[in-house]
Amino acid sequence: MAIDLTVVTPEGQAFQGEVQTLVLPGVEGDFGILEGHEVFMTSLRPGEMQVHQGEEILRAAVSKGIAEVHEDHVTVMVGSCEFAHEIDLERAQIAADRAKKQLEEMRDSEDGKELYQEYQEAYSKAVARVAVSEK
Amino acid sequence: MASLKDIKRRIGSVENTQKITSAMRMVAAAKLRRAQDAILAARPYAQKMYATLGEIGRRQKDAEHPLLQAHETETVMEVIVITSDRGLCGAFNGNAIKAADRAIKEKGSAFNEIVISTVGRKATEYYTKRQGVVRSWTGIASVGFHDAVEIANHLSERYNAGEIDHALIVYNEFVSAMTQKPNTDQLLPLSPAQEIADAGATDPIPFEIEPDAAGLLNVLVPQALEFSIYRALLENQAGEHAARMTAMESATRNTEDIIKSLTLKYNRARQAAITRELVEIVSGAEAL
Repeated sequence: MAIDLTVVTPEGQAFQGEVQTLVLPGVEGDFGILEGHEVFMTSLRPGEMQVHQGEEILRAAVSKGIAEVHEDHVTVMVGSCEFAHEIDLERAQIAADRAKKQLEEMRDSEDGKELYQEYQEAYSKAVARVAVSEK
Repeated sequence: MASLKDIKRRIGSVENTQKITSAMRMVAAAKLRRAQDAILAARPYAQKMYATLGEIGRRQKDAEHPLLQAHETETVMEVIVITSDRGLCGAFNGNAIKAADRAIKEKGSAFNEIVISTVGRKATEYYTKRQGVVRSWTGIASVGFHDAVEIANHLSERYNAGEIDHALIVYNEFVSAMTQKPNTDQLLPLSPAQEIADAGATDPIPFEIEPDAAGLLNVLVPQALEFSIYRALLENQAGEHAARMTAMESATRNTEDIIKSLTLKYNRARQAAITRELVEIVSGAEAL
């Protein structure tokens, strides 16, 4: 009962190994994967990835990307993937506060609509980093 | 004729320069290795992304995304020129700027307006003094993917808002430690056909896609733009260190030559001084 998980980012392979289950932040909500899952592909929103490896649960903040699920292996392709121990909580908190402020300013301004999505993404990514790091 | 002391001082100063250039060469070599590793690390991601993009494109013939579509009338072009922040790397930055100027001249007739954004202090200084820059990014110590995302967001916002209709990127490609070739690539409208062909086959792409292919394209197309910029930044980074390494190597060799010829001069001057003193002593003795 194991899935071969590979996480690729432009800066290199972030993870490679056998895992029991994993939970990914899909665009339509988080979803869990066990071995023998239906073969499919979906896009991911910035959020938290959970990996169950043996007794351990690894948590990582991922940015938007794509997950490709096969019966015995999963490939996750994201812009960035940071595991909890790689995140500096203090800096993540500062970044999240800044993103929140920008998002609020954006909402009030006239020409904010186009930028909204970008800031929304930056915000959810920042919040995910804080959440991952706090656990 | 320079005095002995003067020559000695010059040898000392050239020796100091030599220490600096050879240290810089070693630093550049170490940084080059890291930059090359970063290029290699990006490959699996690139292959996966372009293969998926190609497959989705094949399955959905009418695949559309605003960044893939050319605007009906093309009036404004933005050129992103990438150089390094620091000099002392030979003709590296000059070549990139020359290539950018050439591209601007060639395409100039097709567009009403050409605007420039820059990465790196050298290009920023050059273009700020001339037509000015829309935006510039400097002080990138070590290229990260988030740097590329920032530039990609800047471009896609402007493209979607109709402020620009075309975008080019000019950078130095890292061919080998000895050669860097200035390259001009089209960024927008995005046409990743070549990269898709280069990516080759990976795992078969699942047939089931959630929620749909359009949703996937919304992630993949911006990622492809971000990645083209990231690649250019990485190539520029590796090229810069390679160019500096070569430049510092020849500078170190030059200091060796100079030291050799100065030492020769010093020895001659010393000989001359000894001979003169001898002549003085001998003639002094004769006079007695």
